[in-house]
Amino acid sequence: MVLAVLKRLGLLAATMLVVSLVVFLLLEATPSSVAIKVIGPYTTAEQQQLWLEQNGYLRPVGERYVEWLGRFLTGDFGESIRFKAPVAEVLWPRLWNTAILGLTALAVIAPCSILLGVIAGIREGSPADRSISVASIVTTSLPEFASAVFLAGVFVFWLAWLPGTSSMAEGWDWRQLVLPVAVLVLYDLGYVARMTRASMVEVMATAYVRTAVLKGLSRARVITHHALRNALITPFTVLTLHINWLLSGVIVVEAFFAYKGFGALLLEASLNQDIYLIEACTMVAVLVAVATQALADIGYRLLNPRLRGT
Amino acid sequence: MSALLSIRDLTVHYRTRRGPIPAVDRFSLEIREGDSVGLVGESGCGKSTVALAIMRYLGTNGRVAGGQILFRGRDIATLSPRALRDYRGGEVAMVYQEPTSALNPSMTAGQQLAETFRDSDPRSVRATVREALAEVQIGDPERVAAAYPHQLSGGQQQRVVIAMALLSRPKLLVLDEPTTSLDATIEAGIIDLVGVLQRRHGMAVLYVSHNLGLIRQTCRRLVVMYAGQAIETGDTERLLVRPRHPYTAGLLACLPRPNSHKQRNPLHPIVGQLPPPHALPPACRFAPRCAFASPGRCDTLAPSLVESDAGSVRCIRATEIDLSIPPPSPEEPNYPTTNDVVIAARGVRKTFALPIRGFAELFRRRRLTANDGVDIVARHGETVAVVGESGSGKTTLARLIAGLDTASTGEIVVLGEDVARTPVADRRAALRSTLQMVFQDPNDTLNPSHSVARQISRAIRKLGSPTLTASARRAEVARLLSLVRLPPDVASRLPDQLSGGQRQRVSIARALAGSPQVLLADEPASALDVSVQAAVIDLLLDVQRRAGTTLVYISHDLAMVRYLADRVYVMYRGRVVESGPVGALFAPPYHPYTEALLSAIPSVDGPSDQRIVLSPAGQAPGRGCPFAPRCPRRTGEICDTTPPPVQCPEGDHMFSCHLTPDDLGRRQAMPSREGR
Amino acid sequence: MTVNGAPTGYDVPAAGGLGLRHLARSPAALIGLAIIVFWVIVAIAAPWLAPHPPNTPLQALLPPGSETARGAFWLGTDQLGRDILSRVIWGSRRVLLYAPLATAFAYAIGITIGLMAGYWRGWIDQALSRVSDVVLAFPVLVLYILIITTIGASGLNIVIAVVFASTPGVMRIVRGLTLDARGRNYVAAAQMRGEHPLAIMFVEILPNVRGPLIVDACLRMGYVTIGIGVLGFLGLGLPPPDPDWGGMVHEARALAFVFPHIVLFPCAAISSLVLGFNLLADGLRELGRQ
Repeated sequence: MVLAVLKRLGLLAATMLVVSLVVFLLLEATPSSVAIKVIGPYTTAEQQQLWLEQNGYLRPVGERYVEWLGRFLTGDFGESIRFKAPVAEVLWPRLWNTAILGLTALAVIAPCSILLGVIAGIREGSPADRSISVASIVTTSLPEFASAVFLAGVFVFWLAWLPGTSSMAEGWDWRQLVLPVAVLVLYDLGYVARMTRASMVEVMATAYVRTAVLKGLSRARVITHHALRNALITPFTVLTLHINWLLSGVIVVEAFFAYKGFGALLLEASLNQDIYLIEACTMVAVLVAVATQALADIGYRLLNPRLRGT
Repeated sequence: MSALLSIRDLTVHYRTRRGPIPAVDRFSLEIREGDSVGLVGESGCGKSTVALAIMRYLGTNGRVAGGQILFRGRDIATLSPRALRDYRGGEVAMVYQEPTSALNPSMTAGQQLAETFRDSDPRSVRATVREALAEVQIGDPERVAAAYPHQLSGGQQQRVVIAMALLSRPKLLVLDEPTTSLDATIEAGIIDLVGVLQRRHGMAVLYVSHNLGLIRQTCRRLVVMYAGQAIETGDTERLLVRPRHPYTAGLLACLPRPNSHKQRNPLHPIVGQLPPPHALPPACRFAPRCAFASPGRCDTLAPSLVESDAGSVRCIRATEIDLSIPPPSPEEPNYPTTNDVVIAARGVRKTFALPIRGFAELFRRRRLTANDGVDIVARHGETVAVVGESGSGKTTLARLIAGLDTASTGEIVVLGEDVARTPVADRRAALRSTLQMVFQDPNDTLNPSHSVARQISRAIRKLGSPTLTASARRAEVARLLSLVRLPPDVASRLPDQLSGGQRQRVSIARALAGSPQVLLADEPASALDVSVQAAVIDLLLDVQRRAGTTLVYISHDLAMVRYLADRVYVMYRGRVVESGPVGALFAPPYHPYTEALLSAIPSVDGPSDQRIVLSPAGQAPGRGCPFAPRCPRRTGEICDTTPPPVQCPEGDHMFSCHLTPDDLGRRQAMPSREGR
Repeated sequence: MTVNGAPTGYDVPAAGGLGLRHLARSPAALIGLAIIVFWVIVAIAAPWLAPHPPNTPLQALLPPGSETARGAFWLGTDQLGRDILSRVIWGSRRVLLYAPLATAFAYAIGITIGLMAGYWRGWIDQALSRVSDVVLAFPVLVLYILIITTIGASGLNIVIAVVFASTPGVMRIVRGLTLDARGRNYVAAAQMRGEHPLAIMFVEILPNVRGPLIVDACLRMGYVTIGIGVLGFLGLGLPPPDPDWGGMVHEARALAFVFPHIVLFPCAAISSLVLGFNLLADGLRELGRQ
């Protein structure tokens, strides 16, 4: 088990290393384009050359990568071009805002999706199953920006119950969080619910559930002690892996509702060619995704007695 | 005595897309207290459905369409949910075919046992669990109670399931193919255990099985089912000695008998196949396959189950026909053999790397030795059988010879060429044509996406004649199909549209495309029903007779091996522990492992006698005899520490044991073993 | 045929035919297919269906149902006075060109390397799997943004980004299915008669794993459609002025709370198309299990 965890963490580190190389090469492989992005396209060739020289961009790529990686590991992500401030200073408050948004969404998604999935999966083909299944197909078919438009149309334009932007300009307001969270929940709830349902249906058809029924156990006990215990391994994994998706959703939602979060920051950085900010944002996003994947793997081993000993 | 359970005219339908299909049709059965009843039939005959109906557990698409099941006079269809739970947990219990999937993978055996009773004192619960496990003869109840199912062997799992079933002291125990997935020596232990428990607790037992030999040992009364109907009932002994229904007689004629051999007595497969439940024959359901069917009567008059002193039978001609087992065929089948060695393997060793499980193994991978110095010889035209239980390495050996895997060390000479380390892709085309294989599982031996014609013509192009014109190839496909006794219209079908037996024939036809000199057959019939099994074996022997093909037959079925083999190799844990001509090998003295295997053959003949029950396989000893930890004839420490010497009682019969042939012979020469 | 014991309906491999006749048994699949066919027809017939040219300014900001819009502009006009119905109709062309194109490329590559990784295993598998792990470590949208920022927004670049991001997922599925199939006896039989490894992969294995792959392809078409829409919404999509559903929402985002009709219809259009793909996938999966 310890070996498995260490192996997984090693894999995590290796993945991050490769990802850093990919990100670096994508954005900084050709120094001239870096210069144009940093000091602007309307500079002369001499100015660009001078800037490259001063900032050590004329050295070989390998050398620059190692130095870049070293600075990155110590938390020095460089200077944001757009915000004229160190990237770290811009990044952390935004990350915090996104954590609030994402975790709130996750806190709604997890219990609701599992509950719906289990209800649907207990009896395949029942009316409850059919309605939950159809509803979840429909909601997962709405791209986040589309459901944002629909929800905003109803609650902002028509009913005028909720604010249409979530910039939190006049201080923290929970009402501004409702629509962004709702959009994230709407898109991701159905998927997790469907996976839970499939897992539950499969478990309900196994021979060991039959054994439990034929032992004379009550239906409630069969479900809680035999079916759920095995069926819930899947939603756990799906939910943790889903944080990767949530990171995509967060970008759209923050852009739509002007929420001052990390996703909006990444988008802004990319639209403004703010490469140091892009690098930092990308690395953080991937780190969160990879770390949760590792967590999912380790958790899966813990939940599954067949893998626990290995 | 009144009936414990009585089934009256039970009819069960399954709902499908094509409308309801009848799985069981007006089935009646009475089980008295303490009785033992066997329910036999081939797959699809409805026997498991009867078992599930007794538990009132037919799934969402099964429905009792008629009749009733009374338990102590009470109709179980009327039980309230509460009463149904008491009935299932307390009165009737069930043991299933696959113990691995019948236990919850994420609960320990102890937890699963403990939850059936409502006693809240954990100490008394623990004691009861321990007692229950001890009762099913589990040696180490504490450890087993704390173990998860995957940490237990198949035999132990089945014992846990039985312990669970017995906890509430049921009046009736239903066993649905309880040993089908287990090795023969483990099976023997489970069967004995059930017998002991039944006598101790005086419960009634309903055995559902396809294995007539097994049923004979365990059941007093027998019900034979065919296509959803009971076709014959009666006392086990009478029914097996003097069957009255042609189907029962046919089933018995399919079984290899102890004294029969391919040279003298061919098997008699039942022609045709089980009718699909949505296209049942209108009158007698067996008529289309029945050698005694009389046109105009059997296909128009539906027979009913007629009672008599000797039991009941569903055949309108039951009193007219003579079903004594057909005499041996007059002409001696001739199997051409020569002394040319076709395959000679020496010192074959194959190891597989195991997954890493700890820090130390990062540097020294543990390896599984599947074959450990195997020597084997096969001569032209002979049948060489390799027998052993699961994990003995027999399939690995076949794959090494075939070139689907390569040996770690040793040599495998096929027709003068060492191919031990040549994967099949690198072998000469001629050698590939010469050595072909027939696989075990009829479900995946053919590619489900391609038609029969396409698969056979591909084999013709690759193994036989690559230059044939399209029409000549079509003719060759038809010839090969007729060789395996399939009609030409099978060519255009997809494997889904064929029965298991037909698929296995197509796979034999495919292997024959290049006129091979050697056929490797890896359990070619073990996944098939008895009647179909006999037909496939018959076919292989026919091929051998005509072409002088060498047959390497991999199997765990000793009865069949005794019937068809010329020479036999017995494998245990990757080593050959005994080898020799079939006659010498099946008579004492034999290796203690062979002795145990032979004693575990469930036979339909002769009185039952003491089986040798082996303890579950433990840790393999370091240097000594691999069989030592389980050996009932173990002599002492020498067995664990010193590799056993090769003993050679006569000719080329040899085995590895510390006991001399004389010693073993004396101990094994008990008269009861003769006639097996 | 599982008459023996309670048939569960789970034991049939999904390799069976998935023809139109089978589709008729699943209402979900039929509805999904109908939606997709509807949009394909709309895309093909756009020049004849669209009442106005999609890029010509006519009369700005008419809500549907308003006095002037009635009869002339069924869905109203946008901030530049362009007819929204015509733009939605023409916009279907872009989605239905790029999404299938990108998915097809991702499948062609993903199937090939997935078959190789699963069949040969060993170092080839290790290498391919590690590379795909790295790509899959990125949240999809982050990867899209990174690629588009680097190579610029154009139709071709969007296809490249989608292929790059989707191929590893396809490869993983194919690899898993191949690992299972290579242990089947029909593969051993093919090896025994000396078939070339590529023939075994593409002729023996691929046809038998097509069921789950078709289902996955439908789902993936949905995701890719969403992905292209989102790129347009974020302003990283196809350059204006040609209509693109995501892009239409992007351009009118500021007016969304005042004139919701401008953004509502493109959103409804893309949602319905994705719903079509998802329904078809779900129906096919159910059919495959029966």
